Amino acid sequence: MKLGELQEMLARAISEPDSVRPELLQAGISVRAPLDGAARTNIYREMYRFRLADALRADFPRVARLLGDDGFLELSAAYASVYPSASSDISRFGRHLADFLSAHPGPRGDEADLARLEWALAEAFTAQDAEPVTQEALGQLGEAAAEARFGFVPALKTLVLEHDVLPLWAELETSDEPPAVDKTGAHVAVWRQGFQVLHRSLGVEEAEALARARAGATLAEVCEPFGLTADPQREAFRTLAGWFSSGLVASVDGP
Amino acid sequence: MALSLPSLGHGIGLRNEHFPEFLAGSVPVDWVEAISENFFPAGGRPRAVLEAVRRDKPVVLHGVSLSIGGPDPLDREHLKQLRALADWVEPAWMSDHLCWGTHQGRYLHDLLPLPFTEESLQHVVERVQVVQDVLGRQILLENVSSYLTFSDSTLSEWDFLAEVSRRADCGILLDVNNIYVSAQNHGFDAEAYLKGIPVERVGQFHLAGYQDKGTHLLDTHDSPVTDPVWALYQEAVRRFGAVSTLIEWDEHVPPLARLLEESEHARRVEDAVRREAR
Repeated sequence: MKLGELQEMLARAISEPDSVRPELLQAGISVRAPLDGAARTNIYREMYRFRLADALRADFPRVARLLGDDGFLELSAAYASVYPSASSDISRFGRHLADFLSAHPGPRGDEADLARLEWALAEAFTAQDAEPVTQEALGQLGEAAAEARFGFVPALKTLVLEHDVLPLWAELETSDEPPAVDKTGAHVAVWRQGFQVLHRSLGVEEAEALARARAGATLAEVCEPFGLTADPQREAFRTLAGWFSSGLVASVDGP
Repeated sequence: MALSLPSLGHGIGLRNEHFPEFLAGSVPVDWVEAISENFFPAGGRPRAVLEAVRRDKPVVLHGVSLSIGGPDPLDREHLKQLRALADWVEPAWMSDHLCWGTHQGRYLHDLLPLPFTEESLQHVVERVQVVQDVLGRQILLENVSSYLTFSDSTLSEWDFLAEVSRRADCGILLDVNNIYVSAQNHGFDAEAYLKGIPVERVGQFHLAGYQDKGTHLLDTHDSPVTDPVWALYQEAVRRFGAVSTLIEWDEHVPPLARLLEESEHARRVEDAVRREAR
């Protein structure tokens, strides 16, 4: 058998076992008691299953806890059959899990949003470093501040979730008893301050303001969503101060 | 060009569990091995730890996904990331495994064995030369633990490894535990393996623990080095001399003190063998 044929056979026997005829394996692989070719191949097949599940569990510990060991192993195998690992870095394997769970919902229906949150946390952990700026950077612009535009740290991600899974995420840290499904949608920001990955929910106005700021709007435009609040100026100031103190802002550019 | 690497002494792997100690700069070890792929992402704590370590100690980069014998074309993006990492870290050397783990764009994330044939030999040698050109340095290839062999093989594993190193002009990372595990699984003589490896090509040793599954030994890196592997390490030191030695412990990672104890044991074994040679 040519090298390429042999490798094709073994790769399929490991990742798609039903696609390989057992007699082919027996012919290509040496037998040494007590294990024949099929049993030896099976060692690699099992390692493949568990290695991928372990890689997913590292990034989705709460989805794993929610589903239990067997359920998570089943999810990992089903996911790998649709989204096989395509990166030499195994930590990239889980990047489509939330989409997969959206297309194949679990019994609760909020598993995809939990996965979306956990993936954002995992990505923030190793996102590119950036030194945040303080609120002084805005103050230095004086009257031109209304035309200021913001740059944000690369670790910042904003999520729009169909379910508010923040209480579920918090509960699953210590408990196997998940709270009831919360079908209220949620806006969430995920970022990293130093080495610490953080997240919090955003109000509707703040979510809109942050989306505008990230899209390159000026400070004046960023503040518009607070126009309908009881005290627009105070609310906008408080929110912007929070962005600076949380280390979200990487640059402030004048006009 | 012969391999010319210094003996760095005794090292350990850079693992998440020990990041705080490494950040504090308080790890009494000669050198450190980092898994290349774990440090591809651009920022965060892993990069900060590696930055702190490389200022203080020699670092070696060890890859797990090169798939040097694989059927797919070499992953140029992977090589680009490796080169960028190497330019930043300036490692003492770089290594990966003599195996394959990709198929039609799919990463199996395993170290799969090759058939030991002339066809495999030519395939691997050509690719090692490409990798060395891209990285601008010689690499070391490590023998893997295996659980199957192919009926088509015409060479022993050690002859295959030795011939790859000569033809491709690369080095060898000799994993003593892997030799023992494969010797038990396939019934060959582990000492014959050592005798078949050219002394001048060996740049590093690995030591690790395995699990006995009854029907086979499984290379698990989750436990102390076993007595038969220490005995084989003694033989390796007798043949190859003082070679940079690393303890691999990747699962159920123990406290740093326990890992350092294992590394010190390796040092004592090496010292004893060298004393007996004087």
